[in-house]
Amino acid sequence: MNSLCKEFRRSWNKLLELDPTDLLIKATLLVIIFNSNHDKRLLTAVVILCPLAFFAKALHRSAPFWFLLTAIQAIAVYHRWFSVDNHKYLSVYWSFAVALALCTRKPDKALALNGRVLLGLVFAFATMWKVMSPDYLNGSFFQYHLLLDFRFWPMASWLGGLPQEVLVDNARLYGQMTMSSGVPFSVQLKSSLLISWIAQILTWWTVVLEAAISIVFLAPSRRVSTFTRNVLLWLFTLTTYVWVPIIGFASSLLVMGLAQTELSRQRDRKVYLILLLASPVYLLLWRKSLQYVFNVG
Amino acid sequence: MFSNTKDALCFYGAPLALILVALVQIYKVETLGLTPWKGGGFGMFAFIDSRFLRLWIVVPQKELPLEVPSHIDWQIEKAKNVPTIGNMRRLAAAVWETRHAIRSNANNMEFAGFLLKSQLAFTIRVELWEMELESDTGRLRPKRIAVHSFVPGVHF
Repeated sequence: MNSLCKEFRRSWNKLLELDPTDLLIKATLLVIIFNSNHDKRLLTAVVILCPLAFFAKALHRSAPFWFLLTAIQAIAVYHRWFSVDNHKYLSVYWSFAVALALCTRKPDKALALNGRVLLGLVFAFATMWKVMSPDYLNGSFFQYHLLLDFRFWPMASWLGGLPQEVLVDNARLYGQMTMSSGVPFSVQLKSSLLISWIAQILTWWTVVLEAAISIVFLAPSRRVSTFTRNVLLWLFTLTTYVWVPIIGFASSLLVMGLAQTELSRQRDRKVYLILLLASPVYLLLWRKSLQYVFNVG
Repeated sequence: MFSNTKDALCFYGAPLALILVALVQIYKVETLGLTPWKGGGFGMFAFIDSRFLRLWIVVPQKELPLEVPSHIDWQIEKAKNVPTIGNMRRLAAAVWETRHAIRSNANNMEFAGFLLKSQLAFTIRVELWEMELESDTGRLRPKRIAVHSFVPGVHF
């Protein structure tokens, strides 16, 4: 156990000693693998290319290689544009940003600016859609997910006090309504006042936090401290992905957050690395516990 | 700040690409009925994503529901997320090509036999539905958001 701790500490120190741009690029290669599971051919290509680039500096510092990686991902996204998730698009933009940054004389500056602006834009568009949605601001969006989306069941059960049988029953009713082949009918879901309150809190917490993130990331960098930006992004990552661990999205946001953090802020950079490394481990534990408690996932 | 256009492009190329795709997505949501969850506009977790399809085979004075075979997931996804008349027609054609229409109603042999021998024109109706949740009562209501009918042999 002691030697394991020593080995871990040695690896951690080695990671921190890496050139910051190399560290960022290597983390990006990992994120690309997380974001490529929607297409078998893409996954095959990145599983070959990314580990190769991970160990060959000549490759991971080469702009043409990154343009190639961008093109491969972009083709896969374009091929199924109507069904792929938004973080796959984000992975393409970030790879494109890396490729372009490597064409400049100051890749670290270009990556910092891209990390900040891309994060700001993602949250600005996400906020815009939430404000425009009739389902969102009245709380029905989160109520629907708390009652029917198994990823939200721990929250509905532990915080909202809905028994597991009620949640399973709701899901069964929903299945009858959507899976049968006749005329769809309406159903009465079992809920509680507490669930409505939780839905309202989640609604406003999410939209206010996302709006704040978009503002601080898009504001001129001299106006807002890096620490403020980082704290808001960590808060979002922890309060969102702890419940719904979408590892591809979380890791993309964290890599971009790391990119825009100055080298002088060693402590912030360590937090980003810890969150990045912890996310796949957390996902596995989350899946196992959902399977164990709710028999889903 | 930038000495030339190439430098500016290297610094802002990726954010520009994101803005461009997001604006195209807004246009597609407005004009093609694309779900805000998809298309790269970051509208996920803002709308209840609950679209589902219903297919019917319609002959004079009779209509029967059709099961949608899951192996045509490409056409199903496209018709659900981008419900244009073209995508719904392609879905109807794919369902019809599998002859699933007949097999799924095998328990109604009389109807199947009638359909196969019939000289009457029949249509396939494709409907797209979504859910509405009444937040105060917890009642989940289906709402039909698109419907198109196609005649095999004429439309595909």
